[in-house]
Amino acid sequence: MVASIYNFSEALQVIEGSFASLRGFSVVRRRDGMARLNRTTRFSEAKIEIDGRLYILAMPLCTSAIPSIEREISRLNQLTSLKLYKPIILHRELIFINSQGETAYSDLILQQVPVRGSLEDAIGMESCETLLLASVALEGVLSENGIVLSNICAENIVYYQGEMFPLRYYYVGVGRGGDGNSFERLRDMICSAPEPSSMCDVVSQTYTPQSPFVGHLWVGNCFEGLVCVEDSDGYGYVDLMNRVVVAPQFVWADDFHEGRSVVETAAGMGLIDKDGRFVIEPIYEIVEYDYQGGTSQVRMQGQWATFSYMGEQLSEFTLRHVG
Amino acid sequence: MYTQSITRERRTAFVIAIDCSGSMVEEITFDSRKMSKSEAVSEVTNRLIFELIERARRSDGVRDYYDVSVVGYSGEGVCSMLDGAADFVPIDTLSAMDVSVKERMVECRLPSGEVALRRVATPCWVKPCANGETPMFEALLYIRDILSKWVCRVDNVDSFPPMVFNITDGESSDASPQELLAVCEQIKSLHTTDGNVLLVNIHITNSSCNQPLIFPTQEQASYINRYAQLLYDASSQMPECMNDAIRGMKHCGARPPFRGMSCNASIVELLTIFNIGSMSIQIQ
Repeated sequence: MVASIYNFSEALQVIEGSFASLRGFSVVRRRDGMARLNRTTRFSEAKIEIDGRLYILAMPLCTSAIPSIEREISRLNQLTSLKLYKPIILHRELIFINSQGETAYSDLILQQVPVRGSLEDAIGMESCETLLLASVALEGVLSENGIVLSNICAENIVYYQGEMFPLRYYYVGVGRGGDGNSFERLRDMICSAPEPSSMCDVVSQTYTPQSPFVGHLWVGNCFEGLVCVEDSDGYGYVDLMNRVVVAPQFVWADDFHEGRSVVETAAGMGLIDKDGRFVIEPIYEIVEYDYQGGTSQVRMQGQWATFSYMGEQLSEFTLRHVG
Repeated sequence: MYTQSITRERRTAFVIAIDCSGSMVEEITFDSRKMSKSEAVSEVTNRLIFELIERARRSDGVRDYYDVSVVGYSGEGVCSMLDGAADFVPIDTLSAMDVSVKERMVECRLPSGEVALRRVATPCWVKPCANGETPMFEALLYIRDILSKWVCRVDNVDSFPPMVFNITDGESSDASPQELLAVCEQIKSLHTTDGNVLLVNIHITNSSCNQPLIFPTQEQASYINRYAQLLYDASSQMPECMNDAIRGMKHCGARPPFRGMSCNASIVELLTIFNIGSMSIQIQ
């Protein structure tokens, strides 16, 4: 039985009772709380985090998607290469109710994402030579192990410190050298990308900025010394040393302006100060904070009122929005 | 037939027609929950739209694989249910529209065996509504006209044929059964070079049909009341090339031909047959 993407999305929100063996994982979510899904030709994917490690959890979109690769994946898992983060098939892992009201199951594929840096990000940051060497090394590992992936492209590769690791073994097959043309195209792309910026008298040294903001699913820009970040628990704020200032907890959070920021919780929207204290309680449908005027327009049950910078209600709730 | 790829170059179309008439206030059991017919209709519609958007989503965003029309019919007439939208909205445009998120509680069983409640969010493009008469005939004429134009466009001539989902309790107020069947035949006779338009009726009912049912066979039509019988007759017979996939959804013993119809079931599984966006459509 093929599950719909709706079934997958719902399971990723409920989690308990929706997965046969996976436990205690968090899902990378959109701002509205739903799972952030991606689609390939044959799979719908979500990113999940287990014990701080990132994984791709993939649900087949057609009945032949997993049977066509299960032998190869089984063989792959017998290899001892440390250069490959191998996927595993979780049989009957997704438990869902089909539209006829019956309990149904779908196999899933789980693959660890070894690092968060994509090859697309690395191109332009790393030197062409370094990336080309990494691609040759990966091609060698695949050939050595008799593996053809058939979907080699920048999107399906992650890069970390001189090494490339493939993702998405959705078309994996047996053979040697079958990815040759794809690697050639990848190298053409790497060679045609501009070299990373460099000082005119330090041409041999590549500039690789080291961001201190590691360990987050998403990192925003710095406003008033605080950076909005997204973790598995939601949105929060860290300082410039990546120390937590306001713990990730919000469904959504804006940037700070004049010491205030609009946030959203499951109960509603509110306004916080830089210590994370609510100046306007998070119970409203909409909070529009005007940092130039220092006031907020707040909507509740379709009616609007004005609140001061300190969170005092300045007007009654009416249908009129003071823009 | 029915083998054309659904791609940005060969787009297809989906029309979702929604009965918003006064009779939709009646209570039914849908998805194991008590709710009004209009709530069931909006759930079915929102699931279909969600599935259509997510099936068109790739890493570079939602790709323009098809046009979508959501048509409501009620005492206020026949109109688009997407705010300010034209007859058809490209799926990438639809995905970018502002949409509220509706939350509902679902029961889940914890590993300890206890039952707990969890909140599930679903985007809500269409809200429940129930008002006045049921101008289904007028709505079907409207659908016939917009689809006639769609299939005649040069770019669409070779496309995978459009599909119509008509979600209703079947109690039309503006035409006789013969007139309804006639306009349904006109819709089903529209075609591209890849096949005829498929008309799927989703029957939302509180009578006879206790269990959700999808793609009924002639034998399974025994639950049928007079409204359901009309919808059964009006629905497309599903193409042979989809029979294996439909048997997989029902059970392996089910024997074709199957009708493009469901009873109190979202039938969103139908979309899983199409491998949208791949090099070739695969009926598997």
